[in-house]
Amino acid sequence: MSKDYESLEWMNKQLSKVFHTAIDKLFDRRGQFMTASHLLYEIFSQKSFKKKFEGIVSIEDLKEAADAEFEPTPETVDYQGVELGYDLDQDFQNLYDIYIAIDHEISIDLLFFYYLYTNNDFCCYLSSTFDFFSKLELKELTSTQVSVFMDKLESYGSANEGLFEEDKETPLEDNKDSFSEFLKNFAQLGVHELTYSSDYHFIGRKDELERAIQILCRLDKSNVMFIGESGVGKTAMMRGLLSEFKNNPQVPERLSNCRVVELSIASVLSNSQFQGDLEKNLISMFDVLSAMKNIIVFVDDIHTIVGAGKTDRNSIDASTIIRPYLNSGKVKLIGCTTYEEHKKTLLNNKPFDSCFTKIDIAEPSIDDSVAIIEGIKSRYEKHHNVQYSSEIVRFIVEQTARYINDKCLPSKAVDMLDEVGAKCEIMDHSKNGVTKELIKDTLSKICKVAILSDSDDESEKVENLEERICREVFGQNEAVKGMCDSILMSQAGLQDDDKPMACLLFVGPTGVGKTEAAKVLAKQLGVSFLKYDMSEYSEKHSVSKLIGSPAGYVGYDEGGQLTDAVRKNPHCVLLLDELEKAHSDIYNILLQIMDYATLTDNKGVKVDFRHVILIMTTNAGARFARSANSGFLKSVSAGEAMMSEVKKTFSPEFINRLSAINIFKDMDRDMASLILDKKLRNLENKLVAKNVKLIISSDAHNLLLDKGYSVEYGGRNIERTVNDMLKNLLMKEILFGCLKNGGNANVSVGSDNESLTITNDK
Amino acid sequence: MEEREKSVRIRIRQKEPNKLSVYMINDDVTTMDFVIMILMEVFFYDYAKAEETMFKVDREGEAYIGTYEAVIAKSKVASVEKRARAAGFPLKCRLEPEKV
Repeated sequence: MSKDYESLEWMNKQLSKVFHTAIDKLFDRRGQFMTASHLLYEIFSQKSFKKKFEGIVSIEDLKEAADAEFEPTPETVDYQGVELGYDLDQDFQNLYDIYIAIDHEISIDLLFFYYLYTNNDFCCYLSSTFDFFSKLELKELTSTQVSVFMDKLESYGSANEGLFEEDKETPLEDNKDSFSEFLKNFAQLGVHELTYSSDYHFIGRKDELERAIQILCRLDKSNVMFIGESGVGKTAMMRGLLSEFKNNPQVPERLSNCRVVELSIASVLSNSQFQGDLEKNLISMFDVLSAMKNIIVFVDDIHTIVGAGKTDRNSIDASTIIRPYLNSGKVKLIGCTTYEEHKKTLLNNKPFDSCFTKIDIAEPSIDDSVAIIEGIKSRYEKHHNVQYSSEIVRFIVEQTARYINDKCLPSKAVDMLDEVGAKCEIMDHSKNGVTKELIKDTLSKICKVAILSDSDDESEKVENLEERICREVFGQNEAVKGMCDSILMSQAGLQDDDKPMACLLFVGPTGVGKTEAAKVLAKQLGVSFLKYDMSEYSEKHSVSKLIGSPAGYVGYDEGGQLTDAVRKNPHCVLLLDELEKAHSDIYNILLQIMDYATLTDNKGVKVDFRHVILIMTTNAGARFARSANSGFLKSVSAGEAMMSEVKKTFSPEFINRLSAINIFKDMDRDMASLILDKKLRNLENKLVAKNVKLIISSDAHNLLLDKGYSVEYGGRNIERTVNDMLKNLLMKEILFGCLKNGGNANVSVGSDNESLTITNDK
Repeated sequence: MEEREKSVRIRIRQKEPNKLSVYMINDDVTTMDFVIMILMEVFFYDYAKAEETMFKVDREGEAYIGTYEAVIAKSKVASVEKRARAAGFPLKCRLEPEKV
């Protein structure tokens, strides 16, 4: 009657070799049975294993057992050879089954695993099952094989049930030793102590600290959750609490003696390879934690607990395991999370969420941030080998507060401090220290906005603004002056705080420089320029393009074009071109922008418009302006005529909220001449690349002006004339004619007085 | 952890050294020769003692064979039953904790 395992194919080479050695030795001594002790003794007698498990496995004990189980055949009896002992027979059958199940040869390490789980006596030879366990490897198996293997062991291992459970039952007394023991035991799971360090100065947040201490003193549910945007210093709150425990005599003793451990869910997860490990680890950890008094657990990113270890919809996750401990007040827990994560994960797990009392951590003020950075700057100074003066620190905080909007103080200022330091190091500016130019340079790279002003003083930025704009926008001095006045007014701080910097309506006929004026303004102020052609928003539903589609509709995820753009560039000139072509519903969302400088997008996020210069242009009424001047009695001025039409087009509440209406006047000949010059200058610049020099006679200039000047069509007609009359001609000459190899292009009036000719005198 | 480990270990080690006594049970099928052979091959009895014990089993229904280490005792019983089944006999043995 042979058994399946007898072929021994299930053993790997090493095991089979040891096995045969053991049999041979027994055979020589006429042993009747070979038992597990014999096999194990033989394994641990091997040199490599002797060394590996030195101090863990007691070979003497094993030898004793092996000797006791040695049954020699007397000389008087015929020797029948070595038989497998009752235990080995069973073990080999099981191991053979495992071999079949995992389809992998059984190695000695696997054999050890098997014995750890199934053989109580085996543990007698070990000084520490834990140490022994840690030496074993399952590396050669795939994860599926490992789980099958462990399942099999579980099914055989009922005899040894008590072994691993035993580990966590010993209650720990409330003393230092038990705490350090706890740390030692759970260090593998990513638990470590947070201690107070005297060189850390926590600044501000008195109210939040007081509230947190109050909550921690509660009997039940003494758990705190700090909620705030990333970078506002939630994690730092924990350190603040530590220093408060240490230094504030008013804190009750049971808190001031507290020790704080930080728990990282990621580490717990990474140490839970097998199904059920996570639960086991967490329960044993929290059992110990609740047995010890005066312990506070700190979990950064507490939302990671929700859903950790969840394999399907109905299975238990880490938060469910921990919740009873939190609810009963046995364990005090402090967690941190952001609003977004809180909404996304924690609010879906109401029971867990309700264990916590939430404390909002708002972004610190500029003054507080400066103080915080003053406190920590020495670290960065040391690292980058530079100096940050207090002036520079304040400058960094102010500039980042102004230009970086998707992050929060103080972390964005710290980032900047660090980056500027790094830049300094690379460029070897260290002798001079950090300069404002360097900061501006870095900032403009991050924000993609040219920070032009040489001074941090805003008033200098707008000085001569009018003059500078007039240099590029011709003949509209009055309108430009009006525009600049509105901006200067808000710069001076005379404007309401919760309104956009300026809301301007540019009224005027086509092609007189309304759009151009807005563009130039943005350039001169060094802010970004956002332009929306309102003709694209002429349908009722196009409002959702600007502020995002409602939930459930296509495009919900994309957000609104306007809200997203302004969130990214809060300092900008926002131009809504040809406003009268938009659907009248769009005017309504503009009303609240103009009034409160906020707009709420489809996800409920408020967008700040306080630093926006809102400029809207319209042609409405421009047609009537001209008709006002015709007829016999010039009783109605162009401006009045246009205003009356504007009033018809836009509602009174809209007009009421504008800071100014700037009327751009019709084109006159002087203006046209200036525009023509500008266009010709542009053309000249382009021709330089072709080695062509443009020389235009005054006759030719006049002809272009005559043809191009049109009150009706404005500046664009001049451009068109230049295109038609001059560029066409140049094109032919450059490609095929006399300017093929460059030279001077002398432009003069042709013989018919209607067209231009070009000659090359080179 | 170490302390707890130790307690686990001590608890297990405190188990009494485990010995079992083997008794052979009579049946009406197994031949006397086979029983004598088993007693000699598995329990290393000499012929005279084997014959005597065999008669004792037959007379008294069962007989005490010997006391061994638990593993050995079980192994011997397993070995006996394996041989008996191979020969087509229902021979059985019984194990009992060691008499003090």
